[in-house]
Amino acid sequence: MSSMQKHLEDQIKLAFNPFYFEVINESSNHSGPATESHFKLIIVSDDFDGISLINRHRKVNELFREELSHFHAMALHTYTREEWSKKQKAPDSPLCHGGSKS
Amino acid sequence: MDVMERIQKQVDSAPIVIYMKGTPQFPQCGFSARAAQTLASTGIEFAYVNVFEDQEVFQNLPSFADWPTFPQIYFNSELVGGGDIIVEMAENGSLKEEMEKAVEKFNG
Repeated sequence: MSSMQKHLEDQIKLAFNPFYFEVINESSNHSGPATESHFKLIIVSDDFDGISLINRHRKVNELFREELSHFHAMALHTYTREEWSKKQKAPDSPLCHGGSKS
Repeated sequence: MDVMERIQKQVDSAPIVIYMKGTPQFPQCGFSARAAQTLASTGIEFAYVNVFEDQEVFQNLPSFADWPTFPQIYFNSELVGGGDIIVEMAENGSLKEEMEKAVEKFNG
């Protein structure tokens, strides 16, 4: 496991007390040399109860403000426990087009 | 005109606006491609801005609505979120309705 992946996991645990979460390093699915450039986060937490999708994402963006400035992409999927019990799965991430960091 | 005013004019100019890398026909990022495709799948028209064609907008849009990533989607001048949110809205069935509401509000 990469150190960035562990860092993201530790921060999510501390910040959201998640019922369930996954940090997936998707960097190898993409062209380009970077190995810690694309991450997908799934977070299921009671902290999201009654909170709009955009405000859930704002909380995560805020937590990872510094990290995001170095990533090419961070796919974000946030659910309440009830939403997750119906879904059990987050959408797949798209593949990038091209390998430039932009 | 200052870039923030320019962005405000853009988001005010149509009920639904996506800021993306590339265009809906020739997207240059998988996340932008999927967001544009998801919007298009409703059959409702939307406007787009290719951030690669305007460096000033590209650099300043993240601070416009305090949102760090692309794509960004606006309904009635208000940020709805990025691509993941549009996809979640399509999956939970609220996207088309929210887009219809945005168009109605814009025209009314």
